[in-house]
Amino acid sequence: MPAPSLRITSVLYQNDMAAALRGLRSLAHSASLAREAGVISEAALHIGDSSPSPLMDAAAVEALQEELAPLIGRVEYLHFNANLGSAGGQNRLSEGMAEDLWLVMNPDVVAHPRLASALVGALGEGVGITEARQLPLEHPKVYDARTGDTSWASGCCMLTRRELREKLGGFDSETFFLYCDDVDYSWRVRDAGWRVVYCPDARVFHDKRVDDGGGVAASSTEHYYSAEAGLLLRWKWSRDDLLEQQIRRFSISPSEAHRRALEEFRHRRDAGRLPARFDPEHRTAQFVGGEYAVHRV
Amino acid sequence: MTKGSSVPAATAGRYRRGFEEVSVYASVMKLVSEHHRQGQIVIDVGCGYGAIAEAVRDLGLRYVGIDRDGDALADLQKRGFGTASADLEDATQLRAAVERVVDAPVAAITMLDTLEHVVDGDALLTELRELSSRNGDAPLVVSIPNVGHRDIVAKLLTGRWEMTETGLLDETHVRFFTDRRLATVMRRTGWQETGAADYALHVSDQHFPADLVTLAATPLAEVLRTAQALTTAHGEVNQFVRCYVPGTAAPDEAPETGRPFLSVLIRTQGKRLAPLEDALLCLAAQTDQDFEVLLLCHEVGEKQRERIEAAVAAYPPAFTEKIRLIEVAGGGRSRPLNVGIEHGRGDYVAVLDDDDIVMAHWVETFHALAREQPGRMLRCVVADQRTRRITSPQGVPSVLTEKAIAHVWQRDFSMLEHLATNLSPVCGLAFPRAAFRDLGLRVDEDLPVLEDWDLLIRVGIWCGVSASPEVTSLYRHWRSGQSMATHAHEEWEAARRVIADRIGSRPMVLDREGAGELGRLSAEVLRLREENGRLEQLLTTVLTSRSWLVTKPLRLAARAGRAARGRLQKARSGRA
Repeated sequence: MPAPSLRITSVLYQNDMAAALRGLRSLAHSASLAREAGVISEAALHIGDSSPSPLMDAAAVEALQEELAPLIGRVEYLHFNANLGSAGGQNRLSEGMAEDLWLVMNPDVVAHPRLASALVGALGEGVGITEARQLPLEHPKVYDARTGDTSWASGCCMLTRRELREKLGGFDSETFFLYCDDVDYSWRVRDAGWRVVYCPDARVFHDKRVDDGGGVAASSTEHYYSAEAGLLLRWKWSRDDLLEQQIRRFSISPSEAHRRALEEFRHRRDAGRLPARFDPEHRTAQFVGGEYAVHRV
Repeated sequence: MTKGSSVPAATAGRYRRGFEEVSVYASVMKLVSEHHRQGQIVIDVGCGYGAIAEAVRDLGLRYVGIDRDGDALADLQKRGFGTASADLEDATQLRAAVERVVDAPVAAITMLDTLEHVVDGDALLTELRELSSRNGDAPLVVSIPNVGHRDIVAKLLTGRWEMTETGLLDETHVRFFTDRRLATVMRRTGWQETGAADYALHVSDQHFPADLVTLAATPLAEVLRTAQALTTAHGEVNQFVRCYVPGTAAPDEAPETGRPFLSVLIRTQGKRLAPLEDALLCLAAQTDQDFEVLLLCHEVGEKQRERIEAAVAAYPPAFTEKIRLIEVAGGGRSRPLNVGIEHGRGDYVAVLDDDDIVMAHWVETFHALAREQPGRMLRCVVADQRTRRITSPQGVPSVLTEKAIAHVWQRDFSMLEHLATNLSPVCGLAFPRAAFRDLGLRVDEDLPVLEDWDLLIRVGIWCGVSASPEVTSLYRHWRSGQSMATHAHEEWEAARRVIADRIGSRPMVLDREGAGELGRLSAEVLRLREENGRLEQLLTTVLTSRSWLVTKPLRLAARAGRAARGRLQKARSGRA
């Protein structure tokens, strides 16, 4: 069987370009090593930009293409002229893709040289997604120590198949703007009978910082979209019981993010813009505490 | 001795010195006797009254003195020694004088307390080098006053530079030497040092006035003495007594350029490749790439080394060129750090174990702190992760973080609290290279544990600390194999005692923040003592009160009841 081809996609939004370029170079290098090892046949890097103004001009794109040419077959840059969010941006960059595999990446990452090889290597038969281990803060969701099976894969760095992307339509960008698009996609992949597998040997550095209390530092925007996505995910995956709980909680919460998220949810519901529902028998989705998998504590 | 042309003849007699067993001349003769070549003559350049002449003769060698002071030369001649007159500022005069008196192979050349009187000392040293080369590389033994003697340094701090008729600051000296200056001058004139017998004086002729605040038995003087003892081994040297032979002339050392900001020392035994790979990726992802990595392979076997090399080689050249693999043999777990300190080129030195990981702004935050307060030790906050080694579902050795963050170490750094206990894992620290270069500090290899705390204190109290509240690194607590588990409790306690003794054995310097904190802590201690006294008084009042004494039988009965209930419950649970 010939080695598969790979498309890597990454969506920028007002990033520090020095850091973003470091990440893109590392991805190209990782793809190059995978090609040299015969794990993949070829690779392309597609960069999307949701920023109000393009972060790269034509000369910068050309310079990057020239720099990465020895490592990767093709480098494309597309300014969206709109903020499509992570789900919309990733979908746009993977529309009609010809490559066999799709590597979804955050822009604030640095890939280990063997990242691509490890993720592709773990994408065995019946596996729909492989997920990398993040550094410096490993995601706390549990996985099966023997098989690697896990509830969902983080869109920070996940590898999936073109056939699944086509069949499922990629991320649900109509519903999810910034968060839970990866949880939802993972669950739809599992709902379709495929496995989601965690791959600790596939390393990716994700630039997360720790706040004073030892938690992961997050902005107010992140709080808002996370709260909004939480409500929508409970709706979509047919957990009315948990949705009601969350609505009650948000309705008395002092948090501005919670109040706005609840308003938006109600607005969508009233306008009939909530998504179709999945998993009525609760076989796939996992809601554990406020999380979407059992977490290590 | 008169010294070349610059010394007025009328003052020459003051340099008449006798030979004593413990003296600079004894040190000179030690080197002459140890290093002289096959030959017959010792030429004493700038000989004055020839303090070593008889001692040279006693070695079975012929003494010849060269000077411009006629009285001194006449005195030598009277004592039966050969002489020649020459002005040492004039190389041709010196050469002619040597040709006049040297009629046999030269065993050694001496030049005692002379170079500091000669304006063009380099020319004189160059001429002597040629003389030595013409005579079978005869060694040159010199004695030179040390202007870095601690008495002079202490006085200079109070604005005193007091020249005297003779001595360390003889008013006729025209050039001044410290150990480094002497090394530079000798190197550039083509001399290579082969022996040293420096003459030390705890109290020099410059030790006046004795009640000067920087000389007397004051804490200030003690701090200065301690600091100087750390920065140089020559603080008590009165005269450098050194032996040289001709070598290759080397230009003055140019300041090193192109050095990285940070040298990252990673010690590894090659046993934990998966965590090491994590650490390398974290470094590759740094937002500030102004660093080098020294991978210190301690007692690493060939196969393990190959695996480490492969892990490094997988990265692009822009990263691999930052990394040097250095083999370290022998010693304990601190040996690699000292080797790394020797090899590091950065302005700062940071230490990562091969299982620590760092956030993207680890170097960036250190760099910002160093720009704000250059030369200080740098400190960022560390968080703990509970971690264990696993074999991944794909069958590869890997790592599992049990909990994202288990604990965050002291956020607002306090040097004083660090004197009591260590609140800073070493991955949150960067040490200024100057602490190693100037203070000669090293990691104490005799400490089996807590060596990082010891280093923190020693660097922190002299260099100060610039701290950030940012969490920039993660210290991994492994489920097994951690230091706390692998070292006996007694070892930890013994190391604690050693460090505590060190803290109490020398003066320390507090910066403004530290001094302010000390004041606040002292006030707090006084307040707590007072409160404790009040509570003790209150307790005594209660315990001796009539009501307490009267109710004693009731308390005894209640206690007996509780005990009986407990016995009953125990008996019931035993039956079940």
